[in-house]
Amino acid sequence: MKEDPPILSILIRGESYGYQIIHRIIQLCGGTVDWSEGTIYPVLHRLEKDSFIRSQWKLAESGRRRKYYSLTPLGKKELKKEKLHWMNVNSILSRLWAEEPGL
Amino acid sequence: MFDLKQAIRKWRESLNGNEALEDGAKEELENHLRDKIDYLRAKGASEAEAFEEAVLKIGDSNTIGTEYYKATTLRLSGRPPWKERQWMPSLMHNYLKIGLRKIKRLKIFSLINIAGLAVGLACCAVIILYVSNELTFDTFHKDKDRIYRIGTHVINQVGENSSSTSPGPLGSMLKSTFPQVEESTRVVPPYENSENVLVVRGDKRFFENRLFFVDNSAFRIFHMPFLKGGRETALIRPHTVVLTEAMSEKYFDEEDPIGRILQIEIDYDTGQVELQDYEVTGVIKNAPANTHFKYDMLLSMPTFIVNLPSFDEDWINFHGKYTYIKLGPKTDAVGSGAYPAFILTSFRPTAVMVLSYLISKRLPVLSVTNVITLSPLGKRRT
Repeated sequence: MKEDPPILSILIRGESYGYQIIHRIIQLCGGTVDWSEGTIYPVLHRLEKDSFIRSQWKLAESGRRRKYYSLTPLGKKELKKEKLHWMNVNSILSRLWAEEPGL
Repeated sequence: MFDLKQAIRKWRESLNGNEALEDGAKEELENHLRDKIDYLRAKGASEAEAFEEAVLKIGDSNTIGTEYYKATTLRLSGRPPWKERQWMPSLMHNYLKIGLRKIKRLKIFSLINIAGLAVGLACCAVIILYVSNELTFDTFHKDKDRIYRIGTHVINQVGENSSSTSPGPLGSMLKSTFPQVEESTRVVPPYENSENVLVVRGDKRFFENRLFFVDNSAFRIFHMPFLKGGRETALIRPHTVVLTEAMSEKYFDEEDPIGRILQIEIDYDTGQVELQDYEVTGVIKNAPANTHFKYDMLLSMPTFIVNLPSFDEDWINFHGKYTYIKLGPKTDAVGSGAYPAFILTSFRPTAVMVLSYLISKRLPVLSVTNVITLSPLGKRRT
């Protein structure tokens, strides 16, 4: 899944909640992608179901309840696998595209 | 004035209709909305603007619900039950592809199967066409249950002979003798073997072979709706003709044919064959394809009588001369009532009557008997 690696990568720096995660992702891609922000929650839901992340309700400073997500050991393993995969893809593509300056 | 609390509450309520969203998920979404609004407010947007923008960014709650459902469902299609079913199964393309591959791989069996199916379908189509043709045969006549063609069964020294023809005077005799017989008409083709007849109008010359001499009463027996001309008087005078729609178009195009002249050449065995003038007095609807009596032109019976006066008297020679009668409605049958009884009790004596008439007239020696038979419409096609 294309949304999985970014989410897992953000969570490896510590627990976070939905709004923060999507906000960070949008910041990182510089507003070039027009995401429907709400769709991150079903993804988080699925990742939790696959035991890559776990969640916990916490009381925030503002007094609101927030659901914080954090990475599980299984999620860390998955992220490593994903990283290897994407690095591979990256190196292949960058070499291929280096031969095509006109692209 | 825009009320942010109210707006958020309403938005939250709108999530309630979504089956896939559990309470926790709804709370998460609401928090997300509030965070977003806070963020936008901090950037200087008004409450209303911030709310609108946040709702827009968070996306359609239905789409989110569907994604939630897909994340948890065991269904292969991932289609939530509240979403509309697709018209075509999503695996349809797959099925087609697999079907084609199987045909390619199992050529012999596919050939047998497909050929078998084709033959089966063809048989089915033929049976349906045949049965529907049979079931609707002659049924366009309005009173088809009451219309009969008179046949004769002659037994004499030479042998036995059944035929669907009958003597010229028989119809009118039956009509005057039996109140049950409502109408009678004679139907006589110009030639016994339906040879072609030359029909001419100006430079249009065609051979036709669906011509018949009929009595005017034919229009009261058969269902022949008039498009032009009068039903009552159409075939009273000699040398008059009624055309079907198709014939009218063929010889007169779009013109009104009533009162116009058609030239028709018929050999009456009088020694001379020449074109004679016939006045068109009516146009009727075309005959349907599945009827035993297929006509293009109907000529007046008086024409035939003028040329062959003996026909009205001739009880002996009736080859190629047909008689149709129409019986009165069932309830009107005098005496015994129902049809079978009518035929049995009334027609056998008639046969004997005809027989004695034949003997008294001029027939040499007719040894046994003549029997008149009735064939109803729609059953036989001779």
